[in-house]
Amino acid sequence: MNDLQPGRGLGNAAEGAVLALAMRGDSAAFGELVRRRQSWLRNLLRRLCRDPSLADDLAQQTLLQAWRTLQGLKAASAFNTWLRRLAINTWLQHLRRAPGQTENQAAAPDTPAPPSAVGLQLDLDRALASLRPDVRLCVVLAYHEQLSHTEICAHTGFPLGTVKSHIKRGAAELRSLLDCYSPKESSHDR
Amino acid sequence: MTDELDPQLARWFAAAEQSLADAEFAARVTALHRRRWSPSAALRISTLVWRGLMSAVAVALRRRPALTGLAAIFALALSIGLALQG
Repeated sequence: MNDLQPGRGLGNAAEGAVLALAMRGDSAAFGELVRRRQSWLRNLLRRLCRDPSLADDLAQQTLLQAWRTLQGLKAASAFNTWLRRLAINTWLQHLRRAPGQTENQAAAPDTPAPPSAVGLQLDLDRALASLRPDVRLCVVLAYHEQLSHTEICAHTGFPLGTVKSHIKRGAAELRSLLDCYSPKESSHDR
Repeated sequence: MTDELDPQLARWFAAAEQSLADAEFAARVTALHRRRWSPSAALRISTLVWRGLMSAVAVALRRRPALTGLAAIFALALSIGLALQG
């Protein structure tokens, strides 16, 4: 068996070729896919579950599940969508196994951190964690993954109206929780 | 394609996106992958299947004839279950 290591000349290989090799069971090619997708996948799961180490664990589970079932993927072009669905299902399974574990630990950011990229990231994740999981999922898919409402319906199985209302409500809650990061307008102070 | 997104919120999400280093994470995935598919794991599964089969035969020989088939099926199912858990 090949090592699941990136490299072996695959670093510059075209995406389609790497994917085709991985679908035939080449573990080095899959390692290259891991290298290319890990940052996106971990960021997605960090937005969904706040805790970075838990997000990394779920990302690992997702990737191992992907490796086991990759040969069943019908079209290489659907890989990203398929991997995203696997990640969402892994997160949902985690929620079912440990309900409440990652929920409600995170109240709204009570003491606003000074505006900075790191502070914003932490506060955004805390604010997201205070949303209901179904609302959070819709908001993350819309804002982080930039999916259309229709695509979110396909990913979640929620009706279009539910998706729209979840996104609207979740966005309003996030705006109020992250108000300290809003650009200040002098007219408001008058 | 996005619909009706709050532009400020979209900027915050974009700013929160980090480029995460791959080396350590890929190494952990590799380690897990090896553990699941290593020769020792295959040997462990084979041993469990073999043990299960042997217990099925032993149970079948000890039981009364009317129950033999049922017991053998039960033992086989048990062995397969054990193997899959391993």
